Amino acid sequence: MQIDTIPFPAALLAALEKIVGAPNVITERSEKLVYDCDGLTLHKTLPGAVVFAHSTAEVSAIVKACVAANYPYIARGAGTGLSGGAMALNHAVVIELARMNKILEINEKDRYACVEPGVINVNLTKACSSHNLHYAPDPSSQGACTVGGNVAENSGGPHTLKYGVTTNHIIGLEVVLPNGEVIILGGPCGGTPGYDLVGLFTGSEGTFGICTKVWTKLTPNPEAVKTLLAVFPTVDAASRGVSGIIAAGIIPAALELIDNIIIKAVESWLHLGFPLDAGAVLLIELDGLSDGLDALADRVCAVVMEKGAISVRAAKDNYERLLLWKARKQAFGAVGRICPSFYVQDGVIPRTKLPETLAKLEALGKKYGLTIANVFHAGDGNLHPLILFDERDPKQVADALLCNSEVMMAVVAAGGMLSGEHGIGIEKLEFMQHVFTQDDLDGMQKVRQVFDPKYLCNPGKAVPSRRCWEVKGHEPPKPAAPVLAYGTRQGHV
Amino acid sequence: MQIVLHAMKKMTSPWTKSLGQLLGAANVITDAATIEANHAQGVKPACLCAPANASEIAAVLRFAADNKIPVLPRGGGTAQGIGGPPQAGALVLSTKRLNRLIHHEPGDMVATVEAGMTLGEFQTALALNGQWLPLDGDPHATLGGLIATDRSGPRALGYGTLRDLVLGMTVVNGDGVARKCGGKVVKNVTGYDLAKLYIGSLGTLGVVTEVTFKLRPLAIDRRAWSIQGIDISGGVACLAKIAALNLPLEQLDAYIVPKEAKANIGAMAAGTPAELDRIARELSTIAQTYSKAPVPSDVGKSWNDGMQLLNTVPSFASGFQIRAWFPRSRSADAVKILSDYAVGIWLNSDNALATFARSPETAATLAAILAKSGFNYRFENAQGLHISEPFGPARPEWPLMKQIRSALDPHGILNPGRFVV
Repeated sequence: MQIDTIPFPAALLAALEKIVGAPNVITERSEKLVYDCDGLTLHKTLPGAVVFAHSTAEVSAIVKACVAANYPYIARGAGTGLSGGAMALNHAVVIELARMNKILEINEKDRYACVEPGVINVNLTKACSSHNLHYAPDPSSQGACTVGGNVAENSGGPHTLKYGVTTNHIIGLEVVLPNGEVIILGGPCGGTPGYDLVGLFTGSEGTFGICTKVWTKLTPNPEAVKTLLAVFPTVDAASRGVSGIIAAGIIPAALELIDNIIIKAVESWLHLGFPLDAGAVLLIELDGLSDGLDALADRVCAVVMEKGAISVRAAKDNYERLLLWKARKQAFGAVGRICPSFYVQDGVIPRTKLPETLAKLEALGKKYGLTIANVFHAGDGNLHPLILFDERDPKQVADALLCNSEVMMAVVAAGGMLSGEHGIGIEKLEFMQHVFTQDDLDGMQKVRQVFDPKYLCNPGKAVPSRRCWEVKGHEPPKPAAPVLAYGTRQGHV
Repeated sequence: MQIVLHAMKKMTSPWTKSLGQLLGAANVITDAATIEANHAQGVKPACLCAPANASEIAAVLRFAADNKIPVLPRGGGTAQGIGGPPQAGALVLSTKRLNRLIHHEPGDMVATVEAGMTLGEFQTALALNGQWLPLDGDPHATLGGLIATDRSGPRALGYGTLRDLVLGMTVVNGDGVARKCGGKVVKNVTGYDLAKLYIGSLGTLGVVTEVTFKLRPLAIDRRAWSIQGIDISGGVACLAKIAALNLPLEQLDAYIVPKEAKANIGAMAAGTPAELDRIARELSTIAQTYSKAPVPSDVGKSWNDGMQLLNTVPSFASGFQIRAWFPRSRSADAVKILSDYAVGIWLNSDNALATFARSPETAATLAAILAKSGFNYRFENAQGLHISEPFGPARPEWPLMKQIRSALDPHGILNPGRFVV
């Protein structure tokens, strides 16, 4: 029996409708289609139901109802995740948090904010910009992704090189635990006694509960910013430029590599004046006190020129700077214009291994006859190879998946880890055994069992379960089979 | 997890012999001098063992679980005053033999090191390649000990706390299984971030055996400034004013002696000469408001002048301490509470370490005041003062923490009774 053919339990539906009101529960197939995947579109499953929550009390009640029905559930923000973390595996109930989008407090004196999980990342920065503060983690999807989703995935972004990722900026959480109990962890006052459950929860991919309030640090805006564009003949030279900057002891605010394929895709769309003949460019941002910033920029120029840059230019003004960043942040969108589908990975490698690993990726692309484009957080060693393919061609899909596996193994061979910011979700589960022992994974599962003994809170994500582990020759998850039938909404027209 | 642990009366109990067979007799020490030297808060252990590696530590922990012996992981022994007193007759598990630098790749600004290496040894080794762990602390403290007690030191202002510096670690949990978390790369979301759990866990979940740290280049140029001769409220205000400037400081402290109504400010920064000149200008402008003494513009390590102010206080070294945390806008409130009783206060931007003359009455009074203050705090070196809650009153999330502890230390052998759960 296909799981998709199981109708949604009537008693649970009634309970959910009682909590949030019938208009806030979706069970119609056509309406649920929007929720069949996140940013990882290769894997799709329809949720059993989608429930819009408006308060902590509602989230708690929804979770309790699901637990009483022994039915899996999953929290969802904007659905921009790239590892399938927000996909409703096993027909789960999706608890949609986008409507919990209030900024509850901005405290400029103590430099923190308290927000609901559905607040869009960039809106937090906008709300505190009049105090000359910002929320530092800036994923490329920051115009759409939510703070709650950022907490679940421990999101990164270009400026995390200097300022740290989400976990370095989260100081407190209100959490609905997987039994429905509400608990507050940490808060604006440091030194909370006991284990650092805020740090443990951040990046747990929604498997330890659902955060309903988030206390974040706010970071003072830098006094001065200098943005450089260094042009290189090859990706190899650019990656040596990255190693050179880090080896010189310089930690830029951001250090991004964009290769020729991406440059061409972005240029054909946005016409920003990027050199079309460059093998790769480095986008280098320096910030801090205005005093000494020019001297630092000169040092960076000297390093990259020594490593083979053809030219370096500085953004003349803030407008030009924003154009450069637009190119970087719209890169994925631009690739969508030149190719029907792409598969992006985000393995992290030691920064000294960049040149050899990028060469390996290029060779893999040739082996499978697929184009691999690169646009990534080079300063962190956080790769983002985009494997381009046509979803309509089954052979290309198969090749893309195989190529992807080899990319992952190249990352592991370089001493790297599977994900720098996108998360494990469903797509990287089977690779976990290559970077962790069974004992390591068992330890993680032990902690998960403390939070979620019934295994209903976003099951099947983040860390392979023991059962999954023991299946020999476990295959990567396949794109979901066509869905045959759906639960119908009962008692509501 | 409520297990009755045997208090060992004889120092040459049969189990020390069995332990000797496990580790080699030379690595299981029961002589009186060693026992004396390894007391914690005046409580003596039965024996000290020094395993050589993670698998020997795993064997010791399994042995301790089988025999219901409490285990006290110990590094440099520099912070035994944190937490409650240990049980008598316990087994001290020394990490002193795990003292190797495993890997330092300067190009990656990352190093992996055994947890028994001291901070001093680690910094010396890193300096050979022009880098450092951006943390200032007791050079005799081990890295594992710093992690267990979350002593991130005053440079946290510039570089973050240990949770921002640790990339991954290997820990032998209380069930005698060695487990890895995190990695050796500077950004990573692969698997649960269990390293966060271990930092500040006071050794109650496992024994840290190996750590990978994010490093920084050694400063090309570093300067320190001190502003002296301010009264207490002026000192707190001056600190807040400097902090509000968002200067790239590594460290910013006020050193307060309440009895003399005196405060000194210390500030330190690393950077280019242009940056440092700018900081010096900003500081001297602010200093004019609060102090008649001119600010030395480049005085090397003169923030020590501030520390020296505290070191001149007679009972500063022998007293008990309270470390309190507060939102920075409430630092004046915090200093007011502490300065009524303290002999010296070391104030950072969002926390303070205050020393008090040893008196059970003072300790009890402060415990009552602080419990109502909304601040977080812990008592340190408060042995003999009958502090029932060294980490403050019980909190709603502690039962959950207790379950986590039971999952990773199922026999409850690690530092029982010393932490919040």
